[in-house]
Amino acid sequence: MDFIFPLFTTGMFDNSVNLFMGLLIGVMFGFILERAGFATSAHIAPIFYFRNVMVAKVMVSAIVTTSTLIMLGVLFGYIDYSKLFFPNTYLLPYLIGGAIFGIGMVMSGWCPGTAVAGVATGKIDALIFILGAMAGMYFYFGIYDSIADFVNSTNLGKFTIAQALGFEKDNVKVSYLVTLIASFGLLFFMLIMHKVAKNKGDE
Amino acid sequence: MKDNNYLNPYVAGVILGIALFVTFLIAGQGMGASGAIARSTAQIAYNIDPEIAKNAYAGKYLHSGNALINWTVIEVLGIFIGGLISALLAGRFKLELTRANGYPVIKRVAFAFLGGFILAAATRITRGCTSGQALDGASAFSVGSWIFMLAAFGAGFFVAFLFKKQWKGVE
Amino acid sequence: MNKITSIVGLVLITAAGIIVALTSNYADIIKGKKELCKSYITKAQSALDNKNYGDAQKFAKEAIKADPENRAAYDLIAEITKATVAPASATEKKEAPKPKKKISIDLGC
Repeated sequence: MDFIFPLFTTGMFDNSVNLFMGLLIGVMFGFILERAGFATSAHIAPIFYFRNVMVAKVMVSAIVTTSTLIMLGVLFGYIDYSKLFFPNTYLLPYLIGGAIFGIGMVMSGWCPGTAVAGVATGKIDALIFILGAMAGMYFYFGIYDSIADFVNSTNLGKFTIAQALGFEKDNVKVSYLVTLIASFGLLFFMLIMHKVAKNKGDE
Repeated sequence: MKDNNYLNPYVAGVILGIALFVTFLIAGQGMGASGAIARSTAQIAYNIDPEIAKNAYAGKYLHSGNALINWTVIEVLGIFIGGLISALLAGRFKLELTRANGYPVIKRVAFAFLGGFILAAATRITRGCTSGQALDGASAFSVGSWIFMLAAFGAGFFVAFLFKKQWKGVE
Repeated sequence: MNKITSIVGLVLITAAGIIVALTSNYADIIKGKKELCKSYITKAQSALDNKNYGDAQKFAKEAIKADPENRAAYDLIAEITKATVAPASATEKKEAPKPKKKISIDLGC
């Protein structure tokens, strides 16, 4: 079966066109982020207090939408799932690194993508965040050699949900089903907690 | 939060989801952001002192020439432009430091900086941030993305009480 | 509310930890597969060097089966096919994944 997508990795067009598309895609992303209200830490930080669940609503809607489209695309043969890029799964690094990431996010009220949009809308704390981020990157370059072994440990490669459950790696139906359940479950949970937080009033 | 003309979050999410799908179709990868910050840092460091190219990590960004010629970097430039356009159209461009009324500026600045610092280092370990791992990875059914999301939000909730005062009454 | 939030946080981190614990045995399996693939590649390469194309192809195929993500295995198949020249072997030719032209490979976002 002739796969048509993803276009770039199947050699449809070359690198400079891809870069230009990247620019357009970024513009679209930034526009949507600001339109949804993500360009301010005032809307991001409160999710950690269940005061504003916009982040959860947007993320879940996005994940559900994209994964549905991907699943349909793979099922009808238009998408070659093996050419779809996503990061490898490093078990321990993600657990520890993820925790550190979360602490940084609640502390600052930003994450990289939203901070860029934030800077574009004049948020000074977004700029400070990015400066701090660059300092953090530089720091990481410095310590990389000493933690490289840990950071590259427990690598499962492109590890899919289906695979984790013992199915064929590219069984998108199983992965999709689990993704739906997990996503809606989390959203539902957040909405409930939001009600709880509202009832508890100001603390 | 039902302010100005902000998009309904579910609608925004669906639009974002479609945009992400189109991105996958065209570029074979999803949208991201932390990689751009890493590369910019590497490139700036290089311009100041080329020795950094020998660094085991930064070297990876620099060995094929300018670290900024990269899909994610260009895409992040786009995020800036897109955010600016949207803000200007909605009249939402405003120079401000988001914080609770009366909360010390210096503390807010310190937390913004420190938070960015540790978060950035963490993104190198997690090979992505909420855009690249949570959105892109989960949509592509990666297990690592879920581990990342649960750990990140989990840790965030766990220590949230420490930083609560920054946001009291903020809109 | 602070206590509740922190407890929720703890639960989520634990959930992540459980997933890590449950899938960690895959780490050994996958490492084993990668090692297996590498050993097949070595065998295929030496068979190729000895012009033993039949064996080379067999080993290369096993390499791909062991680890479908290993690029070297596909490159090897292409090499073997080129070396054998005979058009009959064209039917056996596996399509190597097109070289990834994008510069950012697995540095994610």
